[in-house]
Amino acid sequence: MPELPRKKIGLVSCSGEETAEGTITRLATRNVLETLRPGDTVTICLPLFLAGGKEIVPSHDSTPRSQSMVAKNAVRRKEPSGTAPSRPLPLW
Amino acid sequence: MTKNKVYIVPCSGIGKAYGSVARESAFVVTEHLRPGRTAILALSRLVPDDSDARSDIRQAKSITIDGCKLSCAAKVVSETGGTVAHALQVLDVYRANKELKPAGISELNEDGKKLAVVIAEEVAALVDSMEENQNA
Repeated sequence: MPELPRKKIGLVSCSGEETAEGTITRLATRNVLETLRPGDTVTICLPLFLAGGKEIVPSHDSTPRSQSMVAKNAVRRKEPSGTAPSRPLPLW
Repeated sequence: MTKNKVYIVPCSGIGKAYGSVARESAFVVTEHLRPGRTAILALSRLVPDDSDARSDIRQAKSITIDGCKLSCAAKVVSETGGTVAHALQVLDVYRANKELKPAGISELNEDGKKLAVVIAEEVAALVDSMEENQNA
């Protein structure tokens, strides 16, 4: 029997940049993806999703890739958690 | 929103550090460098038919800050009738500042924050030049 890929839960967080609540939803999504349920969840940028994009983000990945590469190389890595739900202050 | 304000539209990406740098730079511009003269408009409000957001974007000039070559911000603003006065790419600024390697998405590393400030200063200069041209 061929092993079928596991179904994952998609998380779509608010993309509102002008309110702190939007930032909190993104932090919550990243926390689930990276720490709480890595491997079981994926996410996508809301505007990209609404515009019909298909770039699924499986985990922390700071390297720009094409859509097809993201889909094929869905490597999952953990990133240290514990970030505060607030905007980092400017450096100056 | 007055017509003279400049909209800053950053990437909404959630999978790459460059998207976080774009957002951070927009925060620095609108909250610290050019408060009152600039405002953030969330990209996700433009994609569905949010008439208020689309009306706002059509009445003002925008500076987009994209985190990758998909250029969602520039494309969406342009396709919804907005005027993209300047379209910045985080990657282009990073290439000119290779010592500032951004990492982290939930929390940017120090290099990522510094890169965001570099972009923010560039955006602020662009806002100034746009206003000068408007007043000339």
